[in-house]
Amino acid sequence: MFKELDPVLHSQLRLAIVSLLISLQEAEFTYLKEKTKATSGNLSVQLDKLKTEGYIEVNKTFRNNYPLTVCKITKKGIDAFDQYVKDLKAYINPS
Amino acid sequence: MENNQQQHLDLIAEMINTARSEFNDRSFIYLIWGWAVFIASLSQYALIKMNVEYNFLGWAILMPLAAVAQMIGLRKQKRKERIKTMIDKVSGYLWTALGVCFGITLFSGNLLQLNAYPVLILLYGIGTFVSGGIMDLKPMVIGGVCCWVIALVAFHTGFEIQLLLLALSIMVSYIIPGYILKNRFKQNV
Repeated sequence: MFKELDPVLHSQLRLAIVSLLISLQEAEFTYLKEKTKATSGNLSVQLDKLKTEGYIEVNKTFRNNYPLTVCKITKKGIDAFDQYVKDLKAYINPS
Repeated sequence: MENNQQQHLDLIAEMINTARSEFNDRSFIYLIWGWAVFIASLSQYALIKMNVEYNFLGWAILMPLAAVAQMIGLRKQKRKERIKTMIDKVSGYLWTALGVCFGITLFSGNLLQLNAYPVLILLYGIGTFVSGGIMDLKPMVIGGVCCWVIALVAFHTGFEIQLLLLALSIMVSYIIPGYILKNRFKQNV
């Protein structure tokens, strides 16, 4: 019997964001946009979703009068990611 | 279905590979301290040869200047950075620890008699060997190893030769790898 995959992470863009943040201390919006090749609008929506679920922290400030969005993964996000990878592996290699 | 799961795993691997080797450009710090120590040690050697009493003048002027230049450079650089990485964090802790060791060694240098500089060379070796390793910068790792060999020689030489060896060690561990690192970032822009 397969465990249901976390629907929050089972989206290409949200998974890409969390996979990047898992390896970094924190990353700015522009960095995530460049690496995921997402549009600003789509990326904003998915970041909000991850923030609402408590998977990431989003800190909005200003730098040189320009808005600056910095994202950081939370403990809950790290645990969810670990579990997601385990579940994914179980789907591919059922024992 | 399974194909889709495999794509997700591939995506995770791709993103982690992208992010895990990232770190911010700190080459200017190696170059600032590298040139400051290089010039200070050679100037002390030259002043000793000219029988000048205050032969440590180069250190007194260049070390505070280098510290200020590093602070300004770091503040400027941090404004441009879009990520914070584990490599940056580890490097920060490593060099802070070594900075404290440099300070204690110089402060208590008289207890080491004429062997403070070989100890500094040993510490340069630790810093650059580890930094080079975590940044995957082989020339810096080699520079670190060279520092240990130079330190071994320096312990058995007189003070004037130690000054020349100090200059050599900083050239191979900070200056040359520093330019290689700077160039690597330039190419990636």
